[in-house]
Amino acid sequence: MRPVADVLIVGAGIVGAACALECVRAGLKTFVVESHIVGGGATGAGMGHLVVMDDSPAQIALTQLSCALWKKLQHELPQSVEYEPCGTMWVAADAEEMAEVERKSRVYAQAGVASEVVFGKTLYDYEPNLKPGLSGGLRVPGDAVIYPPTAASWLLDRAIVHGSKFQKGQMVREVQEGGIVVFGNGDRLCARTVVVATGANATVLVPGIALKPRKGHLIITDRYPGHIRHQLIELGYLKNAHKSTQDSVAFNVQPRRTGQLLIGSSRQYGAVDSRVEESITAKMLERALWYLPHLKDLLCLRVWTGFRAATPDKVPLIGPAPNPETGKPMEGVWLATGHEGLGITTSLGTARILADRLVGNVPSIPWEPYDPSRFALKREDIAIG
Amino acid sequence: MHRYHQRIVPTTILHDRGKRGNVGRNGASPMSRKTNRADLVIVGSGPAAMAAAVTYSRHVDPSRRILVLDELTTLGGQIWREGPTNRVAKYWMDGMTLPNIHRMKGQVLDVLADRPGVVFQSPEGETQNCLGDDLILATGARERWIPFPGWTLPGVVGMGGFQAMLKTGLAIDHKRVVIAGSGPLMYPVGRSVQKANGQLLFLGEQASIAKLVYFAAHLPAYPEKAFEALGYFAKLWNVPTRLGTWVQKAGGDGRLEWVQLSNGKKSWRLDCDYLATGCHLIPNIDLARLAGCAIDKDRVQIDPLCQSSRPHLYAIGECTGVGGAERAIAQGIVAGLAAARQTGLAQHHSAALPRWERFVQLLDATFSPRSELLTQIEEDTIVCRCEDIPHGRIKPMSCWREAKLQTRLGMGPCQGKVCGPAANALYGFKPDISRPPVSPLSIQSLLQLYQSEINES
Repeated sequence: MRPVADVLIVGAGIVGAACALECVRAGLKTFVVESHIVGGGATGAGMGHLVVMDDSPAQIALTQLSCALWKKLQHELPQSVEYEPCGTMWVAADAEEMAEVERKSRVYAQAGVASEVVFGKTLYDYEPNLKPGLSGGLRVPGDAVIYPPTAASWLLDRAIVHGSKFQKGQMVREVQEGGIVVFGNGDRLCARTVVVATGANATVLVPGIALKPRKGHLIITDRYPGHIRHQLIELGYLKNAHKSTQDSVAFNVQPRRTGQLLIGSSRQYGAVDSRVEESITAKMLERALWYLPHLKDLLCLRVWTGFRAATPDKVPLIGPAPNPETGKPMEGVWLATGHEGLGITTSLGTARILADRLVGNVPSIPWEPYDPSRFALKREDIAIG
Repeated sequence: MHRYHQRIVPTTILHDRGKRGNVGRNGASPMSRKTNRADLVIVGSGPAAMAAAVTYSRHVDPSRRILVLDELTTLGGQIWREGPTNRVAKYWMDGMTLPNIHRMKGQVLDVLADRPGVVFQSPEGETQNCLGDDLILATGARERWIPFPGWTLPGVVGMGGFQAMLKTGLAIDHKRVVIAGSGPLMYPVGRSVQKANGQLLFLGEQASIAKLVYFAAHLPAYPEKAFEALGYFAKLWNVPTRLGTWVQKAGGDGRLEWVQLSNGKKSWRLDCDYLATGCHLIPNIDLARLAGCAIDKDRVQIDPLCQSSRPHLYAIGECTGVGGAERAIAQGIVAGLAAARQTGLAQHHSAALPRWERFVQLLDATFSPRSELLTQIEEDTIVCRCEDIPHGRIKPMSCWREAKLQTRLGMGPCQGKVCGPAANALYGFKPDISRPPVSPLSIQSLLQLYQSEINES
């Protein structure tokens, strides 16, 4: 079968769209296939927070690279992407969390990310609606917020303008070694490299990869401009994101350009249906109300769920997919998934690394921490956490 | 015949034993929750709801308790908002004073998943579960808007909305009013305008003359409706009226100043102060959807005894199809008897219903939007009023979900209640399944809603 492209990307979420643009710019003949609508999966369900996250060196490197790329792009983005450089405020409730703030600020400083340690009164100058009595926080002014579905469609449109092909409406049901995709209706396409960027569903196409869905809930309110100015996150957020066996909630609230507030966050394991679940949503709201008591009078418009793609070490899978039997890299099949709660941010960094590796360039950050082979042949030892 | 019922039904309100007060960071103490236990719970208080409540009450032991829940303070739903318009209305309203019928004003937030009950919130913000042995949904219908250039100008209002505004005191003395759109609602609204001393300049019905002739030919099969229609014609005979005529656009500087009408052959403008418009009515099915009832063609599906696809859950009135007050009452009687376990009587009365089902089809076929209404829209005509999204941006989208994600259609406070039916008519989009909250809710109320449901499960 003749290859239709150098790179065939399965999935036009923000990761797939970003990869398409980078590949096409790197001179690769690119083809994107999407079964439903652009940005219709986790891209359309999540928060759109562009954040440098310090959970691990690999995560800092990837999020920092990505945030810098978003900053460079911000003036090209159309209004519909709603890029807002509002920054993040990590909120410390007590002295113990303030110590964590200090540690975090040192980590950021080392990575070259500007941050400001904020004590008591200054915290309330920035965010008057926070509950009184909190110790302080860490302000990261370089972080930003976007609206992901239009970002994904903009990236894809740019890729198409630069020559990428795009096919919508057919679902890929199988991916085979040799860079072959088989559609539900039996049609086949072949490329030198197939990139699976389908989020949590990637395990359907490439069985055995270290990926599990992690359900989240979000709530959006009516318009209350200025109620909060930064994206507000509790310092316990990362600790909660780490919990491998328990469902958890963490305070994470975002101001949107419209003045609406996006309230999160929750993480669940094993949940497979997209129904809104009362008990975890109630917990999430109670947590949010603790930090922002005036939230109780704000009007909620809608509640919904989405599924993040989670890996055991919170670092995505970017590179050749491991064969589930042999553990060796599959011929012509790559992964670009497993971004958990950072897919919007790291879509751009992921795309850079992927394109660089495909054409044989040295990526600007080491690619090894993201290579899927780190999980090969170790499936029995893995506890997803 | 009253059926003597020996079981004592507890009707106490159970107060939650948890403490109100500071909620810990991990949500230690839930907010208070009550359960209001009754025998029959009815959502709505229009003709259908009243017929069901009164009929049920007359066929059961006086110890049985009936809860009638509605957002409106007045009894009678939308159609009798101004008070009883005839003897029939008065009959049912008088019946509502029976001692075991309890009316509560407030919002129904959700339907319980596994038993006949709802989560109800009073205007003061207190939430409670209202449980019955049976639940009847009589949630009525609302106006359908088909956007046209200028429809968002101040002064352009829905027909039913206009009538409500007149009732709550909008002064239109000598103000020039045009009523143009579709559906029989324009006649009672026309009468309201006359009674309020407005200048009713024009009545325009978009349905073609052929369709209206067909409708008129079938009307004698419904003598009540024919008589009602004649009554309106008698009062409105001297108002300029055109059939097969529709609004092409509305214009003015910051406010409605004129309306452009067309009959397909020519267009003309009328200067006016108000345009009452709307294209017939659509059933309010959000609660029924939340309850998991089967829905067909945007109407709640019911069997001959008005039972929905969920056991012990009935649906009556306009939410099962727009067919008018007589049908709603007939259904209310059937459901009331069925809930009272008077199955034989219920079946006897249900023989009257198929005739009304044909009337629903007749109304639907007659007053459906003509193709010009769907094609005269311009690139910059607003389709989503909450988010200010014009037709030009929505047109290229392939489905409701894509339009929603890419343009934010349906993401504003109405959550698709107005733009959803418009998008369905204009583009064939099928809006998403409803999720609670059914209307915007304060975070506090939402939390109470969830806590009620956790405690019930």
